[in-house]
Amino acid sequence: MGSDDSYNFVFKVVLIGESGVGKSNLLSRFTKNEFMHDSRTTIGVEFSTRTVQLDHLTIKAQIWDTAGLERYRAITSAYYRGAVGALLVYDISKHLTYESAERWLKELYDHADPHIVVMLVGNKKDLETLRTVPTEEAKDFADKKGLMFIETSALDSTNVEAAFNEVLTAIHKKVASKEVTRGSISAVTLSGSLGLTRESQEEQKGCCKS
Amino acid sequence: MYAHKFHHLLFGYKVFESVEAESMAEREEIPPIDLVKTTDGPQPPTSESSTSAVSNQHPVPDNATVPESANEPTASQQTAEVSETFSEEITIESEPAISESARQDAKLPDLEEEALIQKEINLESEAAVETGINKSKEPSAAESKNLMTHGAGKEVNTNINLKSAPENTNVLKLETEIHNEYFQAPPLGETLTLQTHKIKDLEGERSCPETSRENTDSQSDKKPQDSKKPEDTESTVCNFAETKKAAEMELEKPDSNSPVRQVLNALQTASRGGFSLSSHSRHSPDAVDSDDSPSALEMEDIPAGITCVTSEDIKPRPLIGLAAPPISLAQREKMASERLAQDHHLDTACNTSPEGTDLGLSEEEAEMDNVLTEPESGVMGGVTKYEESSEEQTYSQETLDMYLINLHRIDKDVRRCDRTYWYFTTDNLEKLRNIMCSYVWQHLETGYVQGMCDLLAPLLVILDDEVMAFSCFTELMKRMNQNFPHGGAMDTHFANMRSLIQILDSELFELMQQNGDYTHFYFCYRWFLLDFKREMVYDDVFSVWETIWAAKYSSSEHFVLFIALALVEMYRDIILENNMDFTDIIKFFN
Repeated sequence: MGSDDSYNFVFKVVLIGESGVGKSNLLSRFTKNEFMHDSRTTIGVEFSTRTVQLDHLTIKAQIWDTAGLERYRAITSAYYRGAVGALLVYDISKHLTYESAERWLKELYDHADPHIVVMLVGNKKDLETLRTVPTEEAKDFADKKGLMFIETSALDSTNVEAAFNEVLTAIHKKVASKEVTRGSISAVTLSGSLGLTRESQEEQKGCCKS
Repeated sequence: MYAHKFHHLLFGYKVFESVEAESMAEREEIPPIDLVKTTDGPQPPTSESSTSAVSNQHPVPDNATVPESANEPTASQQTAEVSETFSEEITIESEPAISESARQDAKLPDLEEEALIQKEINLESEAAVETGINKSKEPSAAESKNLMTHGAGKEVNTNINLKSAPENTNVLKLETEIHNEYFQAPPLGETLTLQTHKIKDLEGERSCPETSRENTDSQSDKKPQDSKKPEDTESTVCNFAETKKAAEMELEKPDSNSPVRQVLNALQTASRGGFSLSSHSRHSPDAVDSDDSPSALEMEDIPAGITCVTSEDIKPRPLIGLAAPPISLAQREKMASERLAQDHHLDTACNTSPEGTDLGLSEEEAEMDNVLTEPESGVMGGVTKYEESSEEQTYSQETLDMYLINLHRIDKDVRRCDRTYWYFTTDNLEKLRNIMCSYVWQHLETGYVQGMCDLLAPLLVILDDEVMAFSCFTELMKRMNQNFPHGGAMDTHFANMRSLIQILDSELFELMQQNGDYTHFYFCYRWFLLDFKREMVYDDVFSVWETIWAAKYSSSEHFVLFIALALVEMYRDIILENNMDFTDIIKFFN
């Protein structure tokens, strides 16, 4: 299903953050280049995939989206399981959503692989006039926590591609440099179909140690 | 049309209103013959009395379609007797022996017709019907069934009288014979076991008579002494004909092509079968009550949603407060000033929305609270955090803060609730918000949880009345609450799904296990949380909800399980063909 094109890696990336910050729209902007003004609240989990080219590699990004407010505990664990990247999204125009970032981070580290690549994403950059979270403040916070940082706008597409691509690149670097543990590497699956091309070395490097 | 049914179903009323009251009157004054004759339209009378016309339908398809049934002596013999048996029963209404034999007959046609009508989905629907038989749990469903029939399909209206005819006779009978014998329905597990037998048989042989024999056997094995069961199944004969017709009619609908639609049809059919199977038994205790003074009951219970809620467990005051205009201006203003301080506190924190709606809403929140403030005092057993003083209550900071957080959440979600649906104009979203705020204020210990708006929305659409929608929503949430993360029902649903699939479709179950083991069934989460509300368009949501609610009284509290099962089984081949894993299936069902 949906995996017709061959790829070298599948990276599972999760979107987390308060309800209403635009997670679902970030996802649809990235995977379908759509923005839904009338999108509904996410119930349970949804996900979407997009295959991207990074360097000479084909990476299938499997991006999971969940409800920001309600997290059914059992699902939460399934949601985080195997994730190698996370976008922690807040709304630059709502300071509260930024304040909760710390809590989200804790939950993420409680459930996900400790080596997971995390990016702090200030979304709704288009609402510059209503900004209540200064870029610098968020940037400092991200640096302190060792997170990547970017500000995006799913509405006007600003930085959406960049955000995901940077995360995917970082994941790939981690995978390639064997920084990740066996546990997380199992989440990065190999495409069996493309094994004999020149990428095979990459795959060997990145993935075959499990 | 739905509005009334929704309300009654939700509150589990004895809904005699037009349909039932009518048929009850007829039942008492006129012999059943007339009842059926009134609905002869789609179903030409085949014999001198329409009573036997009803029953005659069944032996015919029975014999015609399944000759093997003759292999079983009892079955064939009884089949031959059916029509007589039925007219006898209806007129005499006293011989247990007859109903015993009719019971077995009844099983044959019902299954055969199932098999004929719903080829691809017969597994699910039979499962559902079977549960209907085995698990009938709640009293008082004939009413809801009638209502159900009334609205479920516009074309199916003719079924009302058809159904009420056999039903009523049964009721009479039940009243005279067995109204005291009320048995607790078996727990789910037991039902599942029975289903297992049955489905295995179906899979193994695909042979109707045998299946039905098995059914009858298991049925009688289970409760040989249960004289109520005969009543259940005996009526199946009559009702399944209607069911079949209904199914056919529905399949003829222009929009009946979509797969979801098909499942729906099957389910509606199944559930109707379920009603007819079990509603009788359950009907009896209630019918006895309500027969005493149905009109009085109606007068009291039905006209005003307000009193309905009152009679449940919410005291009248909050609703009066909601329904009536706010208390007094002076009081409001006093409260408002207090509240504004609070709101200001919140606004500084989170009123950052671009539309500035938060401000507007906050002011209203103040008002809303004032409306509620007064009536709440005596009611809020659950919320104990606020302090009370005799005249003006002040609430603890904690309570207010919590409520404000909830209001903020509600605002976020209300704005996003089904915006594409025509009904949700700004004004109607405002209603939605009002209701949700009131509800959450009354249930502050739980607070607002995402999904609640989705559950409220269809009610508001159909009722288009804040007060009614509020009371219905409150009632609905009594069940749905359990599915939210603070309740435990979701895990039960998953566990049941797991058991059911494992038993009914081991091939699929194995695939699920092999592909990363998603037999946790998390992909059904939204289905259960919202009663499939997000999986369907509004019109279908109404049907499905109504079915689910009515099923509680007629077939099974767990009817949602069988809808879910039907959805999974409907697409089982696709799932198998594509060798789906968890992500695929989530994507697929989203």
